[in-house]
Amino acid sequence: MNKARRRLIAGFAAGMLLVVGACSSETSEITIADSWARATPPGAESAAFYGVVTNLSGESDQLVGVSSPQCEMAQIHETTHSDGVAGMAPAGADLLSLNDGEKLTLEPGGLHVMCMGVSEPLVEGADVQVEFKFEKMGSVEFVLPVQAG
Amino acid sequence: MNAESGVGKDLLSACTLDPVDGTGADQVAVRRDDISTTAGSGFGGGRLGGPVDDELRALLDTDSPLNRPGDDPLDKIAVGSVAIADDDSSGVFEVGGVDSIDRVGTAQSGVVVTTDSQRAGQSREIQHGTEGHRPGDPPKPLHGREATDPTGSSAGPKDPLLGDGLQLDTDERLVIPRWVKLGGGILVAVIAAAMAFAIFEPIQVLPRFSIAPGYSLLAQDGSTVNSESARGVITLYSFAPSHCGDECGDMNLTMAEVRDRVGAEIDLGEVDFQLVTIALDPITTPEQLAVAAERSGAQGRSWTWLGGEENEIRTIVGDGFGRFFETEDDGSIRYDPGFILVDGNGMIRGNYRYQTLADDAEKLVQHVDILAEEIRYADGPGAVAYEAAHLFLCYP
Amino acid sequence: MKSSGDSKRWLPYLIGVPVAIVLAVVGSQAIVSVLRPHIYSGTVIRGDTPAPTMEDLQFVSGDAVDLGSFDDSDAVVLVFFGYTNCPDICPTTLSAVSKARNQLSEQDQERTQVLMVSVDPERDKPDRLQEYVEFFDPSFLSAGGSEDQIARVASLYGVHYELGEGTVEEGYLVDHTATLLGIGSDGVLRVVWPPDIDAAALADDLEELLS
Repeated sequence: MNKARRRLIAGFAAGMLLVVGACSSETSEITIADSWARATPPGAESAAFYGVVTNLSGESDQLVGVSSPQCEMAQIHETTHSDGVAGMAPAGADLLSLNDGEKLTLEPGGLHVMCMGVSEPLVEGADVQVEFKFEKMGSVEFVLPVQAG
Repeated sequence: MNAESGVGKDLLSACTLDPVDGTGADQVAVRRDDISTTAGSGFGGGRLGGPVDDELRALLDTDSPLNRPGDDPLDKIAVGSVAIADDDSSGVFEVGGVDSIDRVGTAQSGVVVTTDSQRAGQSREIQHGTEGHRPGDPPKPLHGREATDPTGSSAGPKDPLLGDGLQLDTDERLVIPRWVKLGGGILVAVIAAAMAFAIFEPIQVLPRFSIAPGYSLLAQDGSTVNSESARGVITLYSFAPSHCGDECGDMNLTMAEVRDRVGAEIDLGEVDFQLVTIALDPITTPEQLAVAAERSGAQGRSWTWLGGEENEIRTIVGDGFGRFFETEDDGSIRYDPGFILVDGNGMIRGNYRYQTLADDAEKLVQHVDILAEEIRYADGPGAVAYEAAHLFLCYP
Repeated sequence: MKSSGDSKRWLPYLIGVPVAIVLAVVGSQAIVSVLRPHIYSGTVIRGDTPAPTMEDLQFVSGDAVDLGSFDDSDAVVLVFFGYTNCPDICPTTLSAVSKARNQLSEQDQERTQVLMVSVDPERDKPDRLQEYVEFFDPSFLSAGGSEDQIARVASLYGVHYELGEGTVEEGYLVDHTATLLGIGSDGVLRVVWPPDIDAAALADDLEELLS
C-alpha cells in the first residue's frame, strides 16, 4: 500500500513536472478519449484497459511503458488474430510510436493495456489510474472508468 | 291466361328464348326502372327502351302476381324482345309495343328481369318463364355488335334482326394485358437463369465437411508447428508411417506431383498452399521426420513432415481427421491411405481415399483450384453466390 | 376498349413496358430474398458429423458433459475455449455472446446454452470457472477436466492452445484459438465464428440457427 501510494504521488509529481517542463506549448498534450477499464470477473487476475490515445504534443513520440497502481504489471499487448487467435504478445515498438497528431487505438480484440495481477477486483463504477510513459513527454496520467463492457 | 310455364321454377334460370312465332326473339318482361327511355323511338337505347303502351297497361290486372298492393305494376314491367349472347354475358333488349299483347299475359305472369349494370356488354341474368322455352334448353346464340353510343347510333353495320341501336360484343375472350405477358416473360427468364446456374454450375464449391483438428506437433527441422500456423493456408494432408518405404512410393509421387502442378498451373493469388504429412508412428526426435522427408521427396519444399506422441496422433489423425490406422504388436502400421484437403479456415473440404489411379493428382489439383477460386471471390458480393452454391448445388 | 386508330397503338407499350420492368425487378428481388441463404458471420459447415463428444469433461456439479441432453431440449450450444485470466479476448467474446443472447426472444434465449471450457485447468478450478462465466450471464455453464482430456476435446474442436511462460504465482498467459463454436439443435457442429464477433450479427445468426 505505502509503496503504491508513494509511487502514485511520485508519479503524479514527476508527471506534472515533466508535463509542465517538457511540453512548452500551451496546447501540446497527449490526450485519451473513450477510455474505459473492463470490470473484472470474479477470480480474474488480469484486466484490460482501452481508449484512444492521441499525440498532440507537437512532435513525434514513443510510448515506452504503462503502469497502474492497481496492477502488479502492465503492458501494451496486442491480441493477434486472423479468424482464430494465435494469442497475445507485447506490442512491438513500431506500433507504439506516434507521430504528431497520430492516434493509438486500444480496443477489445486489438491493442490494449494488459494489467496483470490486479490488486483488487475492478468493479463497475470505480476508477482506475493508468500512467502512460512517453519517451519525450514523460509520464501522462489518466483516470479510466470501470465498465462492464 | 294461365302461367303454365312453371314460373316458380324458372324464375331464377337464365336462358335464351326460343323464337315463338318466327319473327325473332321472344318476349320477356323487364323491370321498368331498368329501362332508359329514348325519345320517340320506342326501341332500344342502351339496352332497354320504349315506353309502355296504354294497351299494355290495360292488360295488367290485379290478379297478376306482379301487381302487388301499393305497387304500380306499370312501373315495374315492360315488354320487349331480348337477344342473348351465346355466353349469356349480355343481352340486347328491344322493347316492343302492343304487338306482343298476346304474349303479355304469359310474360306477365312471372317474368322479372334484373339488371345489374347500365352498360351493354355486362352480364345480366334474365329470368323468365314464357311458353316456348323449357328449362334446360341450350341457349340460342344471337350475335350482334356492341354499340358504344347509348343513343343507338353506331358506325357498324346494322344487324338485320336487331336493327340499329343495341349491339353486342360476343367476341369477348380473356384478354391478357400485354404488361402481364412481359412480366411473365421476364419471370420465366429469371427462373431459366436459375436453372441454368444449377445445371451448368458456373460456381463450384467444395463442401465443408467438418472442422479440422487443432494440433501442436514436432516438425522435421525441430520446430513446433501448430494448427494455427495453417490459418490462411490451403493444406493438403497425408498420413503415413515415417519408415514407409516403397509401398508409399505412389502416394509420395502424387504428393510431389500436386505440389509441383499447383505451383505451376494454379494462380493462387495471395493464398498459400502447403503439403503436410503426419507420421502415424510415435515420433520422438526431429531426425526421424527428417529421414522420412528425404525418403518421400518432401525435403521441406512446402511439404512438411510432422509427428508426435501416440495418443496425440490417435486423437488428431484417428478422431480429428477420421483416418483409420492400427498399430500392430510388431510396430508395423496398418492404415488406409488417403489425403485430406483443408482450407485456410480450418475446415475439411476434401477427403480422398487413395486409389492407385494416375488421376489422383489431377483431381487434387482441380480441387485446390476450386478452393483457391472460392477463397479469392467469396468475400464481398460474391459471398451470396458462394453461400447459395453451398446450399443448392451438387458437389463436384 | 379497342382503339380505332393507329395513333394510340403505342400507348399500351408506353405504360406496359415500364410496368413490366418494375415488376421484373421487384419480382426478381423478391425471389432472391426468399431463396437467398442467410449469410452467417461465421463459417458454416454443411456436413452432418455429430459434434465431438465432451463426455470426458465435467460441469461444476461433477456431472459429465452430455451434449445429447442439449439435443433433447432442442437447444443450440455455443462452445468457447478460454481461461479466466484472459484479459482481453475471453471477456470480450463472452460479453458479446451475452449481449447477443439477450437480444433473442425469451423462448430462443432458453434454447441457447453457452458453455465455456477452460484450457487452464491448473488455475481454473471448477468453482472459480463457474463463478467466472456466471459474471457474464447466470445461464452460462462451464466445464473442465484433466489436462489430457481437455487437450483431446480442444483438438477435436479445432482449438489449439499453448500455456505461456511463468508459474502460477508469476502469472502466465495462454495463447488459444478463440473461435466460438455453434452446435445446432441436431447435435451437429454447424457454425464457427471468429473471435471479436459483433453481438447484433451473432444474434441474427442465432435466430437462424434456432429456426
